[in-house]
Amino acid sequence: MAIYSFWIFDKHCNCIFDREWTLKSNHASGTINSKLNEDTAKLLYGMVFSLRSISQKLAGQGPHNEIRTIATGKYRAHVLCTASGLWFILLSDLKRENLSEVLRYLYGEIYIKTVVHNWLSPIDFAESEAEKRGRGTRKIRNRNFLQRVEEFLGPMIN
Amino acid sequence: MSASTSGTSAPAAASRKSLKAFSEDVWKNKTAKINAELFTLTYGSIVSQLCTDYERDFTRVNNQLYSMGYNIGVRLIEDFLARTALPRCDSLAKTSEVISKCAFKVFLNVTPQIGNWSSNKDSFSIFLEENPLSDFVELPMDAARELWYSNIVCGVLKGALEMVQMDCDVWFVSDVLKGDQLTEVRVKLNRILKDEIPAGED
Amino acid sequence: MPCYFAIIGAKDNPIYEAEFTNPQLNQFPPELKELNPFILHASLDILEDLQWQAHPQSGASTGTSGGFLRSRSSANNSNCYLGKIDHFYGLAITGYLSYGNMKFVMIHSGNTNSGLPVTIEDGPVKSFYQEVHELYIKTLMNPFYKLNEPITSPVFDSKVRTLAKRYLTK
Repeated sequence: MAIYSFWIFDKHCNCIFDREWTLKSNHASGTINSKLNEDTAKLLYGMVFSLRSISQKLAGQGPHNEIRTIATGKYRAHVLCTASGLWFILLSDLKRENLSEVLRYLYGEIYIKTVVHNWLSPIDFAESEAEKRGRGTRKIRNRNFLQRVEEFLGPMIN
Repeated sequence: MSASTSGTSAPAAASRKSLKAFSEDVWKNKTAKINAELFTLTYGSIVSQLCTDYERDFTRVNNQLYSMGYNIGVRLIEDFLARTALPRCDSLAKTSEVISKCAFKVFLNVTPQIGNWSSNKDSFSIFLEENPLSDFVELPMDAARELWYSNIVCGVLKGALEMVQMDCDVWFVSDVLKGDQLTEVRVKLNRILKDEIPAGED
Repeated sequence: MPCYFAIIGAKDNPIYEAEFTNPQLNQFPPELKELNPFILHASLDILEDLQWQAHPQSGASTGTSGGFLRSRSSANNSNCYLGKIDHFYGLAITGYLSYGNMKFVMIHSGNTNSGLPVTIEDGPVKSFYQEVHELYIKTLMNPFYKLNEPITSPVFDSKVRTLAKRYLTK
């Protein structure tokens, strides 16, 4: 079982956090908020965005039809979309069937407590119109947030 | 490639159980409590300090309370969503129900009545029979006309609703502190905001 | 019997005063009425003396070593009531001291003609003080009221008068 990467997108379609692990053996490896991941982030966003649109259309007027997981030959993407427009996405191998509890924990216990409840941290990362609609590059940099994400996800990466 | 979707993920619980029982559970098990007097006194000291700082210009005090509330609301909604895992509401009626039975319950442990719907169903009133913010409060003579003591509530609702893409106006209609029969907060939905889409997608 | 009640702040400043009379009973004679605040203030010294005594009811100045002993003896506020602390001709003065050092004092007048000293019914008087104390605490919780300032709230006033009707001027 392995987790490969973790992503957060805000309601401005911007990636506000990314964490990718490169070595299974070392959970300190990999990149945090990497510029190199910008393109991957856009593709990932696009994929979830399109699938969401389709699933909503398929559901018609019925209840909400949110994406939970998307599986490919090698990956599984676990998605949590909140009513406030945040997306939490974990990429894992196929053995991980369901990470929704992990995603809820990342949102409710880590993001809420280290970013939302921290009044000196922004919660809207786009500072101007030009940084909205996927054109922003600001990231979550709170030390407490980074630390708790590492502590929580580190043991799960391999 | 395969994709799986769900109706609303975890909180399907919310529809199975009644919203009331569900909120009761969230309030009981997932909410840290503080002493009511400490809470009331903290809010009271903020309002009375604002009145002093703004030299009893109560219009400014109202505005300041509102904007403080707004800033709380945009954060509180995340807390609320994380705790309840509720999806977006399908209608304003549903929204009003979630506000009264769930949001007020979870954060203030009161369940105000909803009523006074406009004929086109775009605005409603929240009637606060109990208001934990204003226990012990008696408005001084000079404040009784203009000050909306609990105006922070309007700001919180405004901020929180905006974060779930509902552009609303929220204001106090009456307050028992001013000698009115009821404490009434009015919510009017202006429009549903569109979710942003990435640049170039439209 | 008519009563004159006052709350005196920590700096000996008046916070609230009220006169309780009953149309069927005697009023304070006009010449005495004006003296009431003075009579009350004169008894504050005695009240402050009692404050530091171990057993205020006994009146004896034994056990002066202790501090504000009444606050230690029990958790409830029943020991705030000092009973009759002073008298002035036919008038009796009772006192009550809150832990915040607010002094609640009252002049009780008897039937002026009888010439007999007034008898204080400790039970109802004590209940009156305790309930006014309760009201005072609620007033203190109002964010717009500042400590040691006069209480101008008409609600407070009317509630105190209701209590007086129930306990004192029946």
